[in-house]
Amino acid sequence: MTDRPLSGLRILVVEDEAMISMMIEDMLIDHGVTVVGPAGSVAQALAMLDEEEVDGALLDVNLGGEKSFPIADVLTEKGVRIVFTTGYGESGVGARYPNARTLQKPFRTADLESALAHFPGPRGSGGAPEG
Amino acid sequence: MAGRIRDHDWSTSPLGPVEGWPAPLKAALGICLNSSYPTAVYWGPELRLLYNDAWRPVADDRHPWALGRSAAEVWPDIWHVVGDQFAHVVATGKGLSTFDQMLPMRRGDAVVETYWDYSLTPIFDERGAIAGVFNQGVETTDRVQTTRAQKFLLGFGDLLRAGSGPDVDPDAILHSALDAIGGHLAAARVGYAEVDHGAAPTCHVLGDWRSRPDLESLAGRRYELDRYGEPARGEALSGRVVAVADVRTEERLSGGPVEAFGAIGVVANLIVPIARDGRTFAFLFVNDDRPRRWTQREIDTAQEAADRLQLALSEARATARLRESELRSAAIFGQAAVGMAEVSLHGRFLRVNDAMERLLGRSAEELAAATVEQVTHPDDRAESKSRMAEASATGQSFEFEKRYLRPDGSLVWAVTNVTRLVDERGRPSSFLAVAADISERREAERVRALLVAELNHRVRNNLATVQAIARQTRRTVRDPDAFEKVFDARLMALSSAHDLLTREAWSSASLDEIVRLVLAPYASERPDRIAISGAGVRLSPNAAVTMAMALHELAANAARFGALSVSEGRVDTAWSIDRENEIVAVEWRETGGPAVSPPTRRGYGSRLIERGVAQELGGEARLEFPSEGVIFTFRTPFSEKVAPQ
Repeated sequence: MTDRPLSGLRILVVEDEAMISMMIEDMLIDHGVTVVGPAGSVAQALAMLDEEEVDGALLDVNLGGEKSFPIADVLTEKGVRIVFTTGYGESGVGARYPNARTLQKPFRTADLESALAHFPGPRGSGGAPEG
Repeated sequence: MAGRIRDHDWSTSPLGPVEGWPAPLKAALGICLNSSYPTAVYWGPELRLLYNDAWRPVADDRHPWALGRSAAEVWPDIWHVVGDQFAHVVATGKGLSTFDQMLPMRRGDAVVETYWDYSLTPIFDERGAIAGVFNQGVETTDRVQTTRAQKFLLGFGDLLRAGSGPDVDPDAILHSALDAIGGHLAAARVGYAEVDHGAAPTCHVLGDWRSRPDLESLAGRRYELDRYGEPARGEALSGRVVAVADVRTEERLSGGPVEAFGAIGVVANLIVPIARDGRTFAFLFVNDDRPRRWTQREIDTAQEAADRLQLALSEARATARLRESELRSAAIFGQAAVGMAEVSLHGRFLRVNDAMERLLGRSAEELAAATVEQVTHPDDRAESKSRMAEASATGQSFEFEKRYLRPDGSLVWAVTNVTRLVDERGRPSSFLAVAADISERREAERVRALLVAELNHRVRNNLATVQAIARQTRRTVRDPDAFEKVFDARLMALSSAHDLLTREAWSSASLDEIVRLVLAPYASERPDRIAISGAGVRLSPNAAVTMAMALHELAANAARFGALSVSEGRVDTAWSIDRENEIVAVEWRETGGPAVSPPTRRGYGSRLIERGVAQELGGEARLEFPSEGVIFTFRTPFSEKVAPQ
């Protein structure tokens, strides 16, 4: 983390379960990340993306029955890196979004850090995208 | 014969001594004796008999006794025929010729049908009166019977052939054959029996024909052959014909066997065995109720008929067995609960049963015009095709689960077993496909997989939730003992919410129950200080969990610092439904507690109460800290997560 600090990144958090989203928020804030959201639904998240620019996103795959893929599609189009969080395992996600990482719930802070490590630096700081 | 006639003592005969015989008699006799053709002269009013050497076989055992006797005395057995013929010639003076005339002649002990070509010619005396009859003739019995036997056998062959064919009935063949044989041989009874060799060989009579209804039928019965004497047991069973003219006088029979035959009305008996390698497996029997000398021709005919009958019967039985087995197969095919189809090597449906029609959702007519490929789901076509090709080449049956496509677009899963069929020469002819609908099993598997995935999802989310609670608790509660207490209480609140949802099969939970469940630990001592009231509102599972956790934080906070920390304090929890604006409003109001001042820093609880509830349930959540007591208000529009009951 030292060679690519997360500090200053704007990361969208999409998670429909309040207690989990609060935990993720705290994890990110502890790393100096500016949390955008959290959003609990696709509509909420898309509305936020209309308003704000983000450097990356943590997306819960399943949002109370709906899939977060429409959000992922918009993010992919924008070239924003995605980390999916899911209770289902990786099925289906990896094939659809080959550049995205997936975190299985529950995850450790270290897992979150390493998943976010591939994000480019804060907008305009010139981090090279992977892929 | 000339010498015998000359030496005969004619002194007592009406003809008188030879020397005195009239010229016409002498002339006729001269011609007679000089003829090489069977010739006789009947002379005088009594028609006294004189005959030449060639005629002797006609007389048979009546020679030489017959010489010089009257025709009526010589031929009492046939006089009812020839007597009239003689009378006619004498009366009219005209010659008479007859061909194949049947004469039932006594020969030995028996009366037999004989056939004759003969002529009767009047002999006139000097005065022009009829003085005798000149007779020439030969026996044609052999020729007549040969012709009849040939005709019979020809007809018999036609009869057996007529009985064959796809609807063949072995019993009907047997009975019409016995009927024909019985009629031809003019017997009293004709039957067909199969032999069971054993310590005591028996025969089983499959059927019989009788000339008269009062004759007992032996059909369906079993007889011990030992009881019918050595000829029946020994010779007949080793394939030799047994012909007995009269069982009562047959020297090889006596005592028991004679009685045994008598009991079934048999006097003359003919057994014609059908044998293989000297071992009889069936026989034809011909009985008569009077003595009868069986002619070789009759025996030959019976043998020929018996052989043909046996052959026809075994063919008929084989055909019947085949037909029965085909009918049984057809019944199995038609009535089977699983789908069955015969499919050509090119994959065309040749025939299908009802279950297959139902499985595929198509009628037999529609399937007749379809191929297996056409009714197979596109994703399974390649495998279906390659497996059939392999089975066609190797003859190995195969089974696999595949999807069929119905005309309405729906698909049906079926476990399909395919077997290659071969023709009688062992060449691949078609496939037999058996298919059982396993859609229900497949659907159950799909649902189970979904449930397992859902369960996994829930468990992982719960672990993440517990992890979140633990982390958040640790952030604010540093003391290990205090941590344990707070963490346990939060875990219990979570657990209560889960219990509630489990009761409702994770569909939804009522707000009223959530509130009562979470507040129960605080209401146990002083129920009156907690008031709960509100209309029916239901929350979705996640919303219920978050609401339960928020209420828990409110209650725990009230117990430590607020209205529930002192005996005079109380909490009013109330919610209402604004149906017009489709809004649910919840209020938590503490009164009577210590004076409240707003917290300097927002902890996990207040974040969960304000932010968490709003995020999870939608709407607005507000936590206020007037000095009279904490107030929590929450307003949210109706949604999938929050709705009136």
